[in-house]
Amino acid sequence: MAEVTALDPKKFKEAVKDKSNARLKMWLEICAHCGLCADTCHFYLANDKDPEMIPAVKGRKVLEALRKKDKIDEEFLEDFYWTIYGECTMCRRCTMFCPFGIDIATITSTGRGLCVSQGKVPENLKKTIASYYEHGNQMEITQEEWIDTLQWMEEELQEELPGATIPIDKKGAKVLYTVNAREPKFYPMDISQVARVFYLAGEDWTMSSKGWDDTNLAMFAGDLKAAAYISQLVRDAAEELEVRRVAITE
Amino acid sequence: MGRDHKFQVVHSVTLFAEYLREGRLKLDKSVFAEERCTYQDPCNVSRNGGCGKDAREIIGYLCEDFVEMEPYGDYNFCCGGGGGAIPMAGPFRERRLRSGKVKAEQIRATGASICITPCHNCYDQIRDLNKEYELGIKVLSFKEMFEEALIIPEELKAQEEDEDEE
Amino acid sequence: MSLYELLRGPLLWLAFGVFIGGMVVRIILFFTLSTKKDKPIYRFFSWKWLWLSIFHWIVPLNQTAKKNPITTTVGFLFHICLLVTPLFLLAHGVLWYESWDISWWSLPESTADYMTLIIIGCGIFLALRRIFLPYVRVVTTAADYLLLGVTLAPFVTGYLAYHQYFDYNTVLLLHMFFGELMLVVIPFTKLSHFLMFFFSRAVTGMEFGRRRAPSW
Ligand code: SF4
Ligand code: SF4
Repeated sequence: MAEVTALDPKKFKEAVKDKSNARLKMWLEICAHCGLCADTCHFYLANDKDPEMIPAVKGRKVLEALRKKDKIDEEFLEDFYWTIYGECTMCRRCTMFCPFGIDIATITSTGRGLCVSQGKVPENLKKTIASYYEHGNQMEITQEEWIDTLQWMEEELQEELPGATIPIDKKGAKVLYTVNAREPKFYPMDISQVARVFYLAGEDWTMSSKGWDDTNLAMFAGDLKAAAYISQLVRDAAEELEVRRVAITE
Repeated sequence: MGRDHKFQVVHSVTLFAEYLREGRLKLDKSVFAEERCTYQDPCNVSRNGGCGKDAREIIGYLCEDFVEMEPYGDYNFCCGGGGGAIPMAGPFRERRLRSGKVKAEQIRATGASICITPCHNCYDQIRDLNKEYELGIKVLSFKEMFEEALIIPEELKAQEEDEDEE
Repeated sequence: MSLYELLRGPLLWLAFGVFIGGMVVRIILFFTLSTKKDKPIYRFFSWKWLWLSIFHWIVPLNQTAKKNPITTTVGFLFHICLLVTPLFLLAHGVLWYESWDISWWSLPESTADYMTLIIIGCGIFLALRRIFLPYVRVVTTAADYLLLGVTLAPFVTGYLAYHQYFDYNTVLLLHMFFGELMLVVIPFTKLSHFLMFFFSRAVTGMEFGRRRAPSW
């Protein structure tokens, strides 16, 4: 659950100023309120065509938030929070159908950024962000656990393919393979499966002992500072290992 | 994908397609011959990643009976699990499952028995939808399918004790 | 100075001034703010995707046109007539000629008349959409109706003036007033989309393009 946090109108106003870029302002102003985006959004279609779910409503709410500045109130923010986190997956489908190409995903992301300024972020996302800072991945996996998992998967794989390995921190490899931290946590077999593919394809690949989680939930949380930090982790790993390509997991 | 660093970022799907195209991997198409497959375009792989074509190229090596969802490719619907919806969990779970109805119906309409998707968000979401909407399908990633369908050269296989002597 | 002279002279100047000046300022603001805060536009700038994105929407070659043929037809008719009629109306041409000694091709009067009716008809269609379709109503504000009114008013009064219904002089004055009012509000409202359309399509086209996806 979202905690009840005290409103900080000053911070909200600052966030509004910070987030108001040229595209956003343009989009929110020129939206013709034509509703052509309505039935392109799965939230609208799946909720018995509830008009409150159409993409343009998300735009409208963000516009209201920007206009409120330090006049922001609890009630508005609460409704805003549920819409902006719970009724848009930032898939950008609607953008393909809008005559102006208004990018609701970017607008939603801004809306989430405004929520961040009030500490109003879904609890579980908050936890993952803290985990990125502490462990470099969203699932609170320590480096030892990670290496153990890789070694365990390597052993599993070698039972079938004795020559296969899961190289760790191999400098100068062609491909650095990164995973979603849900894999070591819930689906470790994913790692041996992909190692198998690389082995059979004769790829020169490696995994990194740090900076191996390619997800970036801070981005979805709307916390751009954390997002920049997180994407730097993988970038650092890639540069340190001097790889040519970074592959993102399926 | 991005090219603004010294390294290039690629999605596994693109790599896998390359391996197959270059003949570095060989698949046994008969493994899934009895199944009808469909493909979920993850927003971040197709529309926002430009890998829709690569994925279909892989499918060409893998599936005999492949049916597209309607709509598909860049125009496909989001599964409902994106944008952090899966890890938000808690009170957001119910909204997520509800919003997945569109995807569930798309899948059902294909009559597929396997839904392939190369994204962990989609994967988890569609598995949940499978239960919630009783789709009776298998949700698989490419690498899971490869595990069964890859043709492994004899010399790479672990040898049985008695054959070792040969 | 009579009311006619006022509307024909200084106020017309003012209206054009606000309209053009306002749009120029809009564009300058867009560029100054975007160079600071919208880095992706410049980092991934691409003429190719810019034009492709604009092209597919300036002619109806997109998914929305396929999905909503009626609304698209109405929308296109509305916008084409809206641009063409005032620019190529004979009566307007005469005014330009009187003031500036310039002239250009003009529409046959009966065609212009039909086109005005088309605009009004389409306008009514758009208003009905707003009233009756729940997903349009939900994002409709009072400003949307007002702006539709402001857009239609010069055409309705123009039509009445041409056919000399009601008191010609009053209707003509109203026509001039509404025409100028429309020009003035454009830079400050969503009507600025007539120009910002190109900017918006361009940035989205490039953003999709760099991910190798169409935005149409
Ligand atoms: S980006 Fe958001 S509003 Fe647009 S279709 Fe996707 S979920 Fe709906
Ligand atoms: S977002 Fe685009 S399609 Fe939706 S109402 Fe606004 S202008 Fe129309």
